[in-house]
Amino acid sequence: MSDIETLEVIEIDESTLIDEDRPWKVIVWNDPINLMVYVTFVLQKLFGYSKEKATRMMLDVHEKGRAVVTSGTRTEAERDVKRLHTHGLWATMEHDE
Amino acid sequence: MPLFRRRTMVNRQADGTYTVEFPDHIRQLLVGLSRQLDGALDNDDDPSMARLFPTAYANDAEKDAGYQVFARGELIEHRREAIELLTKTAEKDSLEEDELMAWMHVVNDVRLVLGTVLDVSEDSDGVELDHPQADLHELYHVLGAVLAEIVDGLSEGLPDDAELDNEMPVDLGDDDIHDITDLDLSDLDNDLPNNDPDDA
Repeated sequence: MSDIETLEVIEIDESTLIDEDRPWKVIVWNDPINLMVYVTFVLQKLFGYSKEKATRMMLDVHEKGRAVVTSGTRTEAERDVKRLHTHGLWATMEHDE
Repeated sequence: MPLFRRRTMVNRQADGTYTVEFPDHIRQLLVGLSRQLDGALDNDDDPSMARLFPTAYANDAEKDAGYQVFARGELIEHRREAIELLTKTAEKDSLEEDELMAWMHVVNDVRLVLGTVLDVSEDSDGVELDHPQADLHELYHVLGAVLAEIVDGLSEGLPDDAELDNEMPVDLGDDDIHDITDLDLSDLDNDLPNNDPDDA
């Protein structure tokens, strides 16, 4: 019996932990001002993405209105958002669902 | 009168610097605009500056207020540094990468403000010559051309895709394994000090 109780406690702890660490997504939104070549370049420069990957993300932004460009803890996401803001990209962050 | 030749105006050299061939009137334009940008950076309530300080938390005003407290000051400081660097180097024909990056930042920031003022849309290619803001639209497009040249030049300094494609493929076939082996070797080469691919 006591083993089962311990298991239950651990389960509750883990679910709480996962909830707190739930990754944040960094999203770049489409805007009519930033040049497509500029957005691609910034994604390559900031995150070390290949031209192919950065172009794919840029096209998602352009055609679908938004793209997830990085994800991580809240601190990491805030850092990335600020770097994108420094480069004039329209970026926000939100919890992974 | 065409402002730009087909030949690229910003070119990366073997030593990692960039030659910049913008005509004098473009350089003077950039200095004048950066001065105006500098003067406007502290205007918290100026709606034309809003695009330079976006929201970070779209759905959480409280968290966003916390972000703005530290980010706004840093964003202003970063922009001032870029303006200062551009002003210092505006007449140079050969730029270090950080100097050219500063030019890029200033040009893009001014474009963001101008695009906000003009309320440009995705499809706005241009306006009629008698449009009340025809001059500003012209300026907006000139800055777009300058920015495209700078980005084109800076892109020459980025690593090739082959050196970066180190994501683990989901489906590992024999061919993929060979590819990974090749990439590991090239990564080792990249770790050598001062290894400039242009020297090869």
